Amino acid sequence: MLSDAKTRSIIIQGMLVTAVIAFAALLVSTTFANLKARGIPIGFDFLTMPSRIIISEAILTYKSRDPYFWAIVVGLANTVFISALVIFFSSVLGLVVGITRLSSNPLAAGTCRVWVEIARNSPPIVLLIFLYSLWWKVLPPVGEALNPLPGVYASMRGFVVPAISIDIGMTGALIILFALTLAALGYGLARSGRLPPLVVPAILAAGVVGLWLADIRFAVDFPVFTGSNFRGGSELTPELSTILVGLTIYTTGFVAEIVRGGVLSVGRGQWDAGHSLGLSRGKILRLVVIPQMLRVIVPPLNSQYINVVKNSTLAIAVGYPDFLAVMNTIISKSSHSIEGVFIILGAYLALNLTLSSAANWYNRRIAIVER
Amino acid sequence: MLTSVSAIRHVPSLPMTNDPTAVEMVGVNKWYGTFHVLKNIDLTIQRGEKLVICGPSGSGKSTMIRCINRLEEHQQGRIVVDGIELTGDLKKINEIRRDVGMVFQHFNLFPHLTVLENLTLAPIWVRKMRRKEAEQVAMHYLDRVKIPDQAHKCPGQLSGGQQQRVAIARSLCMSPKIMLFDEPTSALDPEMVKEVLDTMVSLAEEGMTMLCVSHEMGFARQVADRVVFMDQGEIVEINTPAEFFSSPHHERSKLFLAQILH
Repeated sequence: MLSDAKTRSIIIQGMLVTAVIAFAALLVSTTFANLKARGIPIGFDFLTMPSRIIISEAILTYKSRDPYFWAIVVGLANTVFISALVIFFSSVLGLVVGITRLSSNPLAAGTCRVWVEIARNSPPIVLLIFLYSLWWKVLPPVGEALNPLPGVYASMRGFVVPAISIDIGMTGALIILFALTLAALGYGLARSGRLPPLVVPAILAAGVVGLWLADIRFAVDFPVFTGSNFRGGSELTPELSTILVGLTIYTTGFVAEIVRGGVLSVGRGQWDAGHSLGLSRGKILRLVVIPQMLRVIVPPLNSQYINVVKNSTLAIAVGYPDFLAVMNTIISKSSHSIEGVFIILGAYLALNLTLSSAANWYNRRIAIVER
Repeated sequence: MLTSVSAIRHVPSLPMTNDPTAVEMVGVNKWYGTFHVLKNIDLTIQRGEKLVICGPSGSGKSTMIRCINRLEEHQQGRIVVDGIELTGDLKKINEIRRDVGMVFQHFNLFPHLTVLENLTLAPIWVRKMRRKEAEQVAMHYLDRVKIPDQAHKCPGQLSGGQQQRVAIARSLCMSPKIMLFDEPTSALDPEMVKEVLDTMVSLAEEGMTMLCVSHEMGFARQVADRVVFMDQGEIVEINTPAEFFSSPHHERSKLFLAQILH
């Protein structure tokens, strides 16, 4: 009986699983016993207690009498905020830099090459600390803030940019949602060609009327210098700006290389075919090369995005309170280190698995049909 | 008709629409680094003429026809296509490319688009045709290459022969004045060669100006007005197909024919 391949593999796997479970049980019971012996409480009850820790800046509202779990959410929101912005900007810049590196213009290609080499070959923490040190060395005091673009100011205290506020009522939001659903539905039906032609404009018109009825107040709040500080606008502190700019520069280098590889992976024959049909370089790039390249670069790009989430923990180096920094404070304040570490691991795992599944979904959706 | 290279006379072509010359190459030279790929190519092709170009691999046949729509740049000499001289002028290059169709050995269809989208891409983006109209034109040509039922499939789902016919239809959608074929049947399984050649024959019968790099002797006999034999970057012999295959003039032609006919 033992020579039967199936039986044998079941026995071996059964033994392995038993061993792993036994080992885990041993670890858990020993830990609990040790903690109990030293009188350290374990459990997640502390999450609802007031935290009394300070989070220097947050995109969600936070006060120090809020409970621990809210502090965790606030830290997580900061991390998601940084990661999302860095992923967005480095994707856009990476596409541009990666394609420009292949340009026949030596100056443009060379500049992009320098960017890629600097970004790829320096440890991100060095880049961050270097950038952070620049704030006080290069930028002027707040009274003489640089004004590179209308409404954008840069000084020692960070960036100030115009704030955009969109104000809609609950009914309005519902109407918009309804109109958008209708529009999407109409678009889908129109593409599949099962709709009389007038229906689409009708639905679009309904959407426009819906938007108008929804009474949206859209306002741009420009910052104004009042003599000692800026009033209005959104402030980006030096810490937040450093982590955003630094990680974007760093990640762009990698994204650019992935993009370059992707463009090169599309065969020369595709360019030949495009040229022979009279398409310009730009159109070949946009209509033929980039759509095919996307399929190749999604998996490595996803790894880069995951790296962004993990690298966002470097925010601790410049003093921006990201999720890890907040958790650190919480752990030392509450002394619930084991629970804390599990929360940290769980949160990063959840974030990255979400990213991966989104990438996998996208990859499946755009896969080229073969046979 | 017994033309040898030196006997061809060059009449300077004028940019006129009723100019009988489709393509004129005068003293064309090209180098890849130090390697001399095209040596003093002189060739004039009349409108409606069908030319089959053959020769051993590495003889510069593909390079020569790729020069005609500037997929390759020539370094010396003059190439005039449809009355327009090929220079660095991008506008003129694009003008020529719009009117010169090309079919490749490896089809080079766009794998991410359906067959119909492959056919309508250039008419929509280059000729600024409306999508509906472009699709009508595309269906017309798919009908002609006898695969209208495959319009909504992706190229990867078709056989090699079908893919090559789609590639021909894709070129025809731009209503070209000249068609270039770069070994269109070399990458096909033997049983699919015929369907592609049949398509090319019917195109020839309609009076299309065609330049085919091909070793298909049957095809050459059936449609070619002239056969051009190239070796080591030179045009060695230009002859009628009947004469070229039965009694070639040049030693190198004889050697080549002996090799491909066993």
